Amino acid sequence: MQAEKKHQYVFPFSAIVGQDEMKTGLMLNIVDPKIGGVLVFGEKGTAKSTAVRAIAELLPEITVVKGCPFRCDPANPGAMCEECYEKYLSGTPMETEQVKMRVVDLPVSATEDRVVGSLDIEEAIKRGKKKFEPGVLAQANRGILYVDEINLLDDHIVDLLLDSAAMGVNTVEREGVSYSHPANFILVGTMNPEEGELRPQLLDRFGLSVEIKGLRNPEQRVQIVRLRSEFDNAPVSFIQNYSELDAELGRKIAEACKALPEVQISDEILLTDAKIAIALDSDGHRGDITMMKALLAAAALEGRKEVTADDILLVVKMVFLHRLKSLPFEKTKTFDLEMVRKIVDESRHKA
Amino acid sequence: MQRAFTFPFSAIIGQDEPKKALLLNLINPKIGGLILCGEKGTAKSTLVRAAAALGSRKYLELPLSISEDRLVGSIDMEATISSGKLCLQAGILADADQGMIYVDEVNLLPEHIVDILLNVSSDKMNRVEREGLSAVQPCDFILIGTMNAEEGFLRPQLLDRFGLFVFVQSEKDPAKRVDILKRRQAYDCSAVDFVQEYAHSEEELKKLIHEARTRLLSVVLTDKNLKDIVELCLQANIDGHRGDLVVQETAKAIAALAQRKYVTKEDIEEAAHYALAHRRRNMQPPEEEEHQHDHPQDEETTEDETQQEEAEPDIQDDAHQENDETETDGSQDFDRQQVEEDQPDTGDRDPETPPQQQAKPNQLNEQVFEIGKPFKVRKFGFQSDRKPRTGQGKRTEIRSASKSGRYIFSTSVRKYDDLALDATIRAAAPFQRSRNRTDVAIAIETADIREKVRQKKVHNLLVFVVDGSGSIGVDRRMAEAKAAVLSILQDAYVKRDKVAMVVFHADRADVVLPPTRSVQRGYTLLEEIKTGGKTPLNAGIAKAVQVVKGEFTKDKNLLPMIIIITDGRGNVPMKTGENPRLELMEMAQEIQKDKTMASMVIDIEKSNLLSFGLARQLAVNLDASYYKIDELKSESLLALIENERGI
Repeated sequence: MQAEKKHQYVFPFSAIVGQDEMKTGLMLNIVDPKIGGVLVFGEKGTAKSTAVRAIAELLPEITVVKGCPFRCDPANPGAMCEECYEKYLSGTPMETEQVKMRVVDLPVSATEDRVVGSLDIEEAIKRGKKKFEPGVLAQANRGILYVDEINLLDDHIVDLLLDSAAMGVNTVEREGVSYSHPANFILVGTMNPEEGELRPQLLDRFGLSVEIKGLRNPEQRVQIVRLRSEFDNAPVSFIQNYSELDAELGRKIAEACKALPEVQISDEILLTDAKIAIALDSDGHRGDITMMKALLAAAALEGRKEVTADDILLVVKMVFLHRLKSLPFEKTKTFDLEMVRKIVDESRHKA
Repeated sequence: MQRAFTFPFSAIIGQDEPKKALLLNLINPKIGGLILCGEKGTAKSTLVRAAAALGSRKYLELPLSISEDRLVGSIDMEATISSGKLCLQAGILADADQGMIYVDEVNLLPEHIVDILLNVSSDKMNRVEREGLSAVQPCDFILIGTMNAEEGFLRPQLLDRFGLFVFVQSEKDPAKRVDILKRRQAYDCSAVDFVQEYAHSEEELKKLIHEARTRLLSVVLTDKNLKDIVELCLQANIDGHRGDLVVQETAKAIAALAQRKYVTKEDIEEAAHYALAHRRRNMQPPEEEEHQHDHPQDEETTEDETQQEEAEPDIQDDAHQENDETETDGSQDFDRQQVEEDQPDTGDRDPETPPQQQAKPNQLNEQVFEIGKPFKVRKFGFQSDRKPRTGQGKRTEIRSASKSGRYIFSTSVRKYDDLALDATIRAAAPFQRSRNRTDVAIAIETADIREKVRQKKVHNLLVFVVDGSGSIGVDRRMAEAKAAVLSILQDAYVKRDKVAMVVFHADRADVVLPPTRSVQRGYTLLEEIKTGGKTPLNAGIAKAVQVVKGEFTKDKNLLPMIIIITDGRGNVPMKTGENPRLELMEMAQEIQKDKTMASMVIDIEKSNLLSFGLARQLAVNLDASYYKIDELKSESLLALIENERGI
């Protein structure tokens, strides 16, 4: 009984020791979901999943069309489901409501029909009607899609993710069902690279990536063990102790979401961004586009209205680490932060 | 879902070649579609969607998850149940007649879907023959695909179906990239306003296309034009005649777009640039083609192109050239000779009697060789089989026995309890009127039940058995052996195989890499392999067998293969006193009889008067495929590797 109950308690985000990069990566994505998610890779037992579970508690509220199963944004007609779009076109007023952004799990064992959706069995048998039963991708629209051990996902499931993650739309043409709906989600994946690499296509769909290691500092390690056992022994009071801090973080995120559209980025910084992308020889334009978005979100999180050159140094590694062009077998990728620093300094001098 | 507020075509910066190729297709559908190939994040999909919005054709996107019944058409469950008559629910293909089908990541499309697309696009007819339905529908569409070659290339037949082929690259000018960033941000902030801003230029473009379409009807090709086209195609050494036709139609569209009614030599050359790149017989994935579009797109490019084509009329030659490149360069060749002359006696000349100069294990003269230049290994491995397995991987497609894997079609044969509801209902639908239905809308009887047939790819387990003995250290053979392993590893990386590595030298064989999907680790270890000492080949192979057996108990569906890289000159028996060579051959025969694993021998012995051909004997006894290390690189032998037998 006790054990079952314990399951519901979530370790508070603010009680996680260290792993700042991962925390930042997650927070930036919530501020601007268009950043495209975050891939967390590292050894086992480095609080990867804990952090994702914990951040669910800090998620802000979003405005949705009331009753829409896809949680369409009344202000964004370009990403609406058919029903909402028709209402938009005809000028029918849409009732809205505030709901919390959610985290949807995609288990590694998930089947195709559960991911993209399928024929509604009950409707079919009872009424002889074809009805689409939405899957995980529908639930994840405007939320977080979390895949633990994403590198172990079946190839054909990965293909489905690629489709939706690229287009923001899930198109289902299978098992007699023909349907499509918006599927804009923040893809959050964790993986342990020792168990196999991620397919390059999927890797590229992630906006940010964070490599995490177990902390080497003995004091911090002691603290982790201490906090963990405190939590296990008395979860209620433990969560209570951190509720203030968590609430503060939640507020910060919510404010940043609101302030994001007003944050400015100068042409000089954009130019620096482009130069870095070229210098790092990353594929395509996704790198610099993601950096721009991450910079804006970072400034918003800090309550600033203007992106600074220092912000670049904060996010650059997360943006480009997984985009560095490399043969499959180059030695462990090292991120040339010095070079980036030089480019940033140069542009500072010019400015 | 409609695609309101698509990123406007005229707002896309740069990308002149793909833009033009798309416009040409809109002007002249006879060109037959287009494939855009390029690295990730180069606006490939954005370009296609934007172009679709300009055209007047129906536009459909094919999701990778599409099932056969939705593609081709199938029984309409609702209508059939209520009417009691078979009713057809048209598939995407029926809809696509006179339209445009777009497939993103077209190289990842499942084979059975590709087959259907190929059939339909060559017949221009969609034939539905399933579930008692029979229908023929006209189906003529433009196929547009985008892909990134990182995860494999397209089948030549499918490639040939695309009229044009264009490489897409990212913008290299920082200032232009800033513009791209700004436009992207503006679009993301408010798609509605952004689209509005470009509405006028989009209208202009539409007008331009429309005018060109009208003009196209009066564009005439002279005999001289036709002769030029045929000559260009002959020079390009392409298969079949489709290329000629495509060049012709493309050239006409180019002329029409340039507001001319006649076709110039330049038009034809430009057309050939778009139409022939993927039809040349020696078509390689983009890395090798990249030099082409380093040039700015202008007449010069097309001329370069033509000259280049003239310069390589013979594919064989070209292949050889590539081989030469992968070979070590001249200076190293010289070094090799030097070594051979200086120390003709190094290595184990007589495999049966361990040579005297072999040092004791603890005073090994160990050396580490760098990895030679890798080369591209063509498809090898196991044939797709129909024995159901579980597991996943990329190299080999198999029917899946577990309830996972891609659902490809349904069957009335019941084995796995994996209900295909859609197919079951479809099977039951026609009989609903005559069946007793209380409480339910559909009465399903046992005979209606259909099961899913799933397909998934299983992992191969590649166990490398690498010779690390002193003899391998001679004359850079280790570097080449490493290059061979690396090349297969790279292939394994793409195909997501499991790999393991056994290295034998001195008096023992070690599993340096236990079976893992992390090919990266294999690489790191490969670098560190030391050479020196005797050649305990027998122990090495025994170890590999042990690894395979161990994995096999965990996963019965594994397709294991051992890849032995050696000169075959084993000189350490497993049992003291045994003849190492006889012991080896006996062991090989046993492995062969066991039939658990496939095997491959890569012979690193240089062919000369001193060669013993022992590796070949080993291969014969193992019933393994056998390659000389040089042959493995050779394009001419690729066919052989492809003919690899199944398990």
